[in-house]
Amino acid sequence: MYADCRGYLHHSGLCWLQGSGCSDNLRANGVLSLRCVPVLLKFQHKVGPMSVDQNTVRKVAHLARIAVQEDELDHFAKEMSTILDWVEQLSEVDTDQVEPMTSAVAQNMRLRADEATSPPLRDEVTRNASGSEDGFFAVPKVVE
Amino acid sequence: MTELTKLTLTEARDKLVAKEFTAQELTQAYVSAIEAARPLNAYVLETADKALEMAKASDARLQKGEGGALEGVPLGIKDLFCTKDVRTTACSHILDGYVPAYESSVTANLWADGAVLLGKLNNDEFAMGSSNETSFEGPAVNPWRRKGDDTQLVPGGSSGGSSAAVAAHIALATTATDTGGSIRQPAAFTGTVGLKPTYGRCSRWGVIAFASSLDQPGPITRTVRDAAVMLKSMAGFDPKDTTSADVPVPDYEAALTGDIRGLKVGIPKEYRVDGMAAEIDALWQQGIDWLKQAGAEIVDVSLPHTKYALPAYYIVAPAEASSNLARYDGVRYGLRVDGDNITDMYEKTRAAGFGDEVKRRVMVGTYVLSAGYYDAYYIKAQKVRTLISQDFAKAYEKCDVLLTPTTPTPAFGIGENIDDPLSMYLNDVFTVTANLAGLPGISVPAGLSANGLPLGLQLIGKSFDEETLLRTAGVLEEAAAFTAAPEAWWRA
Repeated sequence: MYADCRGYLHHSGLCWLQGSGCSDNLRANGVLSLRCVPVLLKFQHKVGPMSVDQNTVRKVAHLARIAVQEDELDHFAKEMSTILDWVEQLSEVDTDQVEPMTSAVAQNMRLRADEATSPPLRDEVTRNASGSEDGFFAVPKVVE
Repeated sequence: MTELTKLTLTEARDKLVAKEFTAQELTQAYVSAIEAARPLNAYVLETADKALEMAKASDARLQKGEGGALEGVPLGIKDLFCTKDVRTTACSHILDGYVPAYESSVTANLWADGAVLLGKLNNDEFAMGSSNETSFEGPAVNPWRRKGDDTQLVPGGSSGGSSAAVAAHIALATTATDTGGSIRQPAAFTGTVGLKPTYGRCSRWGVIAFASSLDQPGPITRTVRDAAVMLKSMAGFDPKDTTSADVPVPDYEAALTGDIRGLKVGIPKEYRVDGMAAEIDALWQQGIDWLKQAGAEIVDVSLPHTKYALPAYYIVAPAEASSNLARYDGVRYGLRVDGDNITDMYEKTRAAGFGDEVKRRVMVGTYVLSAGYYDAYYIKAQKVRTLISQDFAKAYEKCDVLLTPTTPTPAFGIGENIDDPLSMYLNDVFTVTANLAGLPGISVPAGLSANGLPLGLQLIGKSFDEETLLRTAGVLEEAAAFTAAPEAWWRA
């Protein structure tokens, strides 16, 4: 199901979208945050099942090494879904014959000789560590 | 505002050389102005002692006639730039108390030219935001207010402290960084000039990384000429940044000839969007008329993939952020929250140290880079980026520079958009394309909204052609004759 949103950006806290089924009601129903969604550049939002569920959030949070409490899962799932559903519009673009960009400015990667370019900086490097001993970083035990 | 803090950077520079006042007098005037402007929360660290010490050394050099290009000029530095022995946290809790052992290349260039460090400026946490509200240090406040309304407004972001400080005359100029609009949007919101150079023009070495293929340092200033002078000092090849461009740095001030006769200015039709505020549209038309009157030729151009720029950005930027921010693990610097084992320590540290917007972007970035999704999201977005870049290349066959609005609206109130990430992201709709294509862009204050807030016009130039960009911006600035200034309500 798609809602075609036309209207415009605002900052007043009320939806300006006119007549398209895109209103604060959708948010109240917990479907998708459409309040003030742009509309500047006409586009379509997918209004449907969330693309990210709580299990996915749990998995991604672990991959990202960010502790997420059980009662935060739903919130993150909704926010990630909103963003991922929105970027989904890229699928409209035909990119079959297009190379992905690898550099914003055309240039060759420079190489340098593999040699030390600064004096030893052990003390400087470790001085900001929350734990360090004898010039090493200190961490909780990692081997049993 | 004293007589000294009223001056532009170039005026102050010339008067310092002419010995009309000393660098210490100028710096002291700014130090006092900063103390009186704390309600703006523009500075997260004031370095008055260091500033006066640097100014003293500048005076000695000026006395001997050995001053550099910015000798004795007091600057504010965005907290994203590492400054040796001066606390730098990117306004994140996770970098609590971090004191770099080295200096960023851009700031090192400024100090080598004689500039003076006033302090570190507020920004959105790790530069992720468009309002400065995601800062762990609390939001910076826009010196401007709506007519007859004392609602506190955002100064834009992520470089909100940088824009607020220039607008409030508590720095002569500031450094900033722009990943999706973070120099130009705050400049537009505060009636200042914001210049994002070509990707590779200014070194990223020592600038705390957000999205490495998009990040670019640049200045926020009160005039176009000041921006030209700042860029000249900030720019330059740096072997320590592999993406730094090994190209000569021209004399940008000399490029400000005021002559744009015969210049072709492109107007991208896709930026004239349905429902855009009438006053923004009118200002754009005014800008077109000004450039036409100055002898430029106006050309209609098309950038057909414009509407895909923001969604592509919100894949590429979080993906790169998730990778760059992996280094904050509680081991090498900043905050550590103890855990049952090392993984638990990482997870608890990052949960406590990152704010909501940073977590959201790191998680989205982790998701789009994860197994099975990489091609569908990241590669797809990089392909769209190629198309956006090709759009510009085609447009530049017909014109030399593009003119657009900088932002779809004037500054909004603190708290008005914070709960709605997508709405916040839209601030960058006109600026993000230049980042994706690596192009230089500048915002020039061009008028006031109906409720008395500054509005900016943006010029986007060809790669490494900041000279044409600045020359055109100079003409726009002169035609706009923007002299409005905020009332100093923040001074008790």
